[in-house]
Amino acid sequence: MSIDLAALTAELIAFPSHDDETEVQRFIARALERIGLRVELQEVIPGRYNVLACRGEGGPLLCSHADAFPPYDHPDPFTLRREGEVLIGRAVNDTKGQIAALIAALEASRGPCEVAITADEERLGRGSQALVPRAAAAVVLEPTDLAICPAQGGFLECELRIVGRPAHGTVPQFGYNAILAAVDCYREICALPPFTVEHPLLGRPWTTLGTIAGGYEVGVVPPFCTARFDLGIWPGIDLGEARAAVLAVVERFGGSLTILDESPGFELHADAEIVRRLAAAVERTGRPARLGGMASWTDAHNLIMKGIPSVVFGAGELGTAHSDRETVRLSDLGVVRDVLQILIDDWVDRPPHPEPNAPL
Amino acid sequence: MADRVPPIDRVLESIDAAETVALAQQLIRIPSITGREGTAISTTVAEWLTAHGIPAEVQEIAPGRLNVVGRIEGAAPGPRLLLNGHLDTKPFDGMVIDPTGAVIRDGRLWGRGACDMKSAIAAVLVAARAVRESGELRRGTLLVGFEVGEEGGGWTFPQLIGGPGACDAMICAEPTNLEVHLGARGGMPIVVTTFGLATHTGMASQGINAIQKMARVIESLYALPVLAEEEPAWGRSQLNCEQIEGGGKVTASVPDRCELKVDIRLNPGLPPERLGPALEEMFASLRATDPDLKVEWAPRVAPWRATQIPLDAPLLAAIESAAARVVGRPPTRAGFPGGCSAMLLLNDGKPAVIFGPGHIQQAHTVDEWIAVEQIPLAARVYAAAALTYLS
Repeated sequence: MSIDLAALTAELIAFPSHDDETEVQRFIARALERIGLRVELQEVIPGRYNVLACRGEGGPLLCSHADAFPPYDHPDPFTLRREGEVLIGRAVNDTKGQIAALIAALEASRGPCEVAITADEERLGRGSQALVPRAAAAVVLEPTDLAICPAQGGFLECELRIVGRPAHGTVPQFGYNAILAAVDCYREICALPPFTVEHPLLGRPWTTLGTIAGGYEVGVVPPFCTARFDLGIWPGIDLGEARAAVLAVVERFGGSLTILDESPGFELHADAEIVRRLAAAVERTGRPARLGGMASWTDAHNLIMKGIPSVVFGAGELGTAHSDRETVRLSDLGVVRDVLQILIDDWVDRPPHPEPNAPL
Repeated sequence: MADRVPPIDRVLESIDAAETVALAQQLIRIPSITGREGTAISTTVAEWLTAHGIPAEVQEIAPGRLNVVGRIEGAAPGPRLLLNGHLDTKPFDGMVIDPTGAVIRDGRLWGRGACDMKSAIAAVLVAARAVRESGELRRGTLLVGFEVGEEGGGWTFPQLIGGPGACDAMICAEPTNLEVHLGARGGMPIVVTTFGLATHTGMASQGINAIQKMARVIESLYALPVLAEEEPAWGRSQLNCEQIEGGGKVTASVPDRCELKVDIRLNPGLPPERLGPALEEMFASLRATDPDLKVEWAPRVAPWRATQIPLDAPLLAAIESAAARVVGRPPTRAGFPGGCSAMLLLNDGKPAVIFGPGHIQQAHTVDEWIAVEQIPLAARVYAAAALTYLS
């Protein structure tokens, strides 16, 4: 009895889980119980749960998140569409398709492992913050297009406020236009060294001006403008120095800066054990193991902070996540399933389970 | 002895500076925010006119919103000259001074409407009374007319001149820093929308950020060659990026839409028929250099052309000679940067100029003020111009 990945993904995305992932967590918990794992729900904050499961003692931690990016104007977020072998819908790669592949891998494997399906990854990461894993290393399932990502970008999420000097809109030369100042200020920030240095696995840091709002519609030089932006913090960049550099630019424009959230970048050595094991598992499926970088924050950050070497891996492209074009190839989910099954069963902190009827 | 003083000078001497400023303070102390002016400002003005022997009429626009017109008939028939201003002000939001304090400090009168334009209303009222009391109005009719809703609350000037304020010529008392403004700039308020492609911020390079595209549009707008053209008396046409709204879903997604409201004010040499194609050309060349750029633009309201009084108009001569007589030197000619009531008359082929106390730089500001000395000077210029034009 093997699990139909497309059907399971369809079942998972049918649960809205952008505000509250409890329903989908109950579904996942039942699915894990059915295939013989010990399952418990961990209450992270009142009414929000991680699913924790394990089989045997030891093995790797396999982690993903159950909450999804909000549907916003996605035309049909909770219905899986299929075009050939491409699956389309909210969260198909971030990360419900990965969860389906993980469940299938657990069903197909017999080795010991720990599983954590977290809550709140898309917002504050409180789910992974609450984890107390026993495993020696973790694989965090996120869309990496099957690259093994030992390098993970952090970020600086900022709110910039510029107070302009209003003036009659027809004599703008007498005012200080807060909109223009905010745009120029952001542009100068993006040109700062922490945000222009390339990383071999991550490329150039991303910078995104996410929202901007300022001014009135009534003939006044805009006296205020607020912009929120995210800046990628690559491994090796000192978060405090980056923050100070941003602040210096903001002050030159007479603005004020609020750091809404921040996280440093992380990087495991390419020869870290979890990287090597995952690479070996990928190669055993007959494909070359490829290293990459995960540009976005993931639960791996919290795991690394807890001292657990973690690597990010999964099917689908991060570039389509959070968009209405979010897709994943069914064959790639199959690769994830196979890789995870091999990883679990080949894990060496206990001997591989004996083949049935094989001589001991 | 007194008989040898020319009549206009006698009228000008009768205008009391302290009283004019005190009247301006009284008007500033009555809030009259645009769209919700309340009747107090209008009835105060109407009662002041009546109390000084000038028949006044109120025009009800809506409950709690009144225009006011005062009327002085000359000795003989002749043209009707309207001295005009608006009674409403911008809201008080963000002000760093007491908006209705009307405090005088450092030679400045502070408060909402001090510059735009309650001091001018006081100057017009005092001028009208001086003209009436002088008995020197030879012909025609001197009207003083004040409307509500000019600052965005639903402008009622068309009703004013369609009703009791009907006139043949006009001096608009908007703040010109005692310069003579020949007309008002045209305008073309537009909205520009950029469209992007949403994606996870971690893969921002695979998305198209609509806000960042807008930043390029803004840069190009300010570099428009037609906006660098200078015109005598007018300077350059002006551009103000006044409102922006982009993204706003959440920060973890590249924004796929950004909207910018831009106000462009046009000199006589840059009519909307020229600006429109110039904008089209700019957007076309932006699109040509950036295939990812998806941008649309549209006028927000029907654009309008600049207006200018004919340079040989007797009204222009009257205000310029009056200003020269009162201030002691010929006034600077310029163009009014924004829209104002003078446009409507000029578009009808009637003479109108703009002249008033206060610098527009102080209008709509969080610490609005006016140089006190300009208020009685303006009153004297209005009286002299009226007596000259209606002589």
